Amino acid sequence: MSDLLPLFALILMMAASMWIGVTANRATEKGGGFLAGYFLGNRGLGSWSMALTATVMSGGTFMGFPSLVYQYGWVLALWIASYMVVPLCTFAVLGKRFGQLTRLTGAITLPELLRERFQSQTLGIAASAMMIFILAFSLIAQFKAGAVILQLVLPGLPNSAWTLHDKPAAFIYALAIFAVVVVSYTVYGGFLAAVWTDLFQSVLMAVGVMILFPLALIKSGGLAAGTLAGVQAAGPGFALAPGAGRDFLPIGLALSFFFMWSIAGMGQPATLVRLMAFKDTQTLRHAMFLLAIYNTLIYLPLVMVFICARALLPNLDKPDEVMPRMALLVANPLVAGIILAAPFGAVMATVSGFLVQISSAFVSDVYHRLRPDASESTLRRLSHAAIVGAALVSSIGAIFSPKFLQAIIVFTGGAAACAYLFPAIMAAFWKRGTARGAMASMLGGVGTVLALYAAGWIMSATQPGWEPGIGEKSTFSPIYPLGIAPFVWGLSASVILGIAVSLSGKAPKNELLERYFPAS
Amino acid sequence: MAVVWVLACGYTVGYAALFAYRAGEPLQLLFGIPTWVVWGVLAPWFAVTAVTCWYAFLGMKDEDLDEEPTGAPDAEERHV
Repeated sequence: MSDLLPLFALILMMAASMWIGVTANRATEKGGGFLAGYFLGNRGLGSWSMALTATVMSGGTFMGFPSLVYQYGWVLALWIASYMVVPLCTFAVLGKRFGQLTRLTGAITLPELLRERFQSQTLGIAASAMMIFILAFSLIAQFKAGAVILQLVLPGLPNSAWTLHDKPAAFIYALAIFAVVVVSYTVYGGFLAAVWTDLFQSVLMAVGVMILFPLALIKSGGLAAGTLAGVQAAGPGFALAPGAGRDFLPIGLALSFFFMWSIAGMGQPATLVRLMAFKDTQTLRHAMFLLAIYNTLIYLPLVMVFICARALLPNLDKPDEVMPRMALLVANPLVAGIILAAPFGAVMATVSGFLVQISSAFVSDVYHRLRPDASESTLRRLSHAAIVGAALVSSIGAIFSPKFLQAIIVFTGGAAACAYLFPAIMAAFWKRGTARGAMASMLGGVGTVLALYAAGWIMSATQPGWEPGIGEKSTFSPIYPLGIAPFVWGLSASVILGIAVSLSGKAPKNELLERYFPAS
Repeated sequence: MAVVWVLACGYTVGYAALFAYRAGEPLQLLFGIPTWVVWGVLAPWFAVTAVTCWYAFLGMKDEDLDEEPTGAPDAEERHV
């Protein structure tokens, strides 16, 4: 019976998410048109929703990140150190102006905002296509994380002899159950369902971490015992940079990742779309405060919990499973269920948010452009179909995904930021920015990141045993020119190309600038 | 904001460069945490959090956001 308690907690979580989907559906129907309600929640997000759903917490935070702490030790505190400035970067830099611009353009999606601001159809379509590609790729990691948790807590899953690309049958069943649940409530409730479940699950995550933290400390004998056990098991690098057993974070990468989480975080589509949806500037200020406190309560304890995990689970074969295994080890089954609901909730929230964005990119930005007279029922059906299709593709991708979740998350997070951050900054603050400049910025940024990852794939395919020697050890490694991460090169290319191409062309028309820069 | 970011990045990465990459030296712990983490990550983290709270309540001013154009957001005015 006690084996079923964690499962019971997860079922409660899934039921609550379904209920939120239904409630969100009602709220969406009360607003204006279908698109604005379904994809942007009628611009009514409050402080808590903004603070706890606008940044980059995801399955990676609760599954991928703990596995890295478990493997490489205290250096992960340096790896995520820039979360200290994320609230300022996210809300203070872009927030107010982005909120104003989105209202001036009437845009309900990020590609639409870029299209309206720069008056370019081509730019809008390129932004939509890129969003679909990047988010679908990112969803692969999230689907895998959801399936891993369910597989661990579903004792009755049939685990027959067959496997699919080295994934056991139980994993495939867990993946299917996860996909059906998350798609159901997302299809029904749209953007608001994604945001509200994200909020609910973010609170649950905080509760989960707060419970797990003292339990892990007690069980392992304290932080000192955890650190020393880690040093004994993995070597002195466990307490130092660049990390245990590998040059995980040499100083060039430490600098890169300080850029990555604070600057790349601003450019994530999930973040930017929430900056289009907040209610007023007071909401923004309160969200900044709440997020600063929340990040402190989540990230620092998470590092400490999984330092202790090295002492309690010294020889895990699959590091991605350290979070659920730790919860099942240190807590009684019911509490473990609540703790496990936290990473599961993080994954569900991320998946639902990404699915809505993919759907909006396809339906609102592409289909509705081509068929502006499409009926609401057609748009509704297509939106639902796009969500189901994206979930299906990502589920298949999860079966063939590499070993470490965080590798995919770093890749897609970097690529998304290189695609959208500088074009968004140009749109909001730079009058001289042009459509061609924004396009060059977007393509140049993503192209650079893709090229560095493609070079890594080619190297590992043509030279057996090749790997970059720094960063996370994975089958999905890029090359790191001068020891700097692809994201930094991509963003540099994005900035240089955006400025150079804009300045080399004609200045935008005054009429356009007067419309979108009203104060001047 | 840029000043806070540069200071936070410069201090955190700079401190780590000086004190975190010292293989072979005896391990120094404070409350069970390596001292380079305490002074290089936790201390600036709490300082920046304090600055963020100050900015949220005292530094940033409320402003009216402009209204949406008539007919938005459901595409009547989109440029097709």
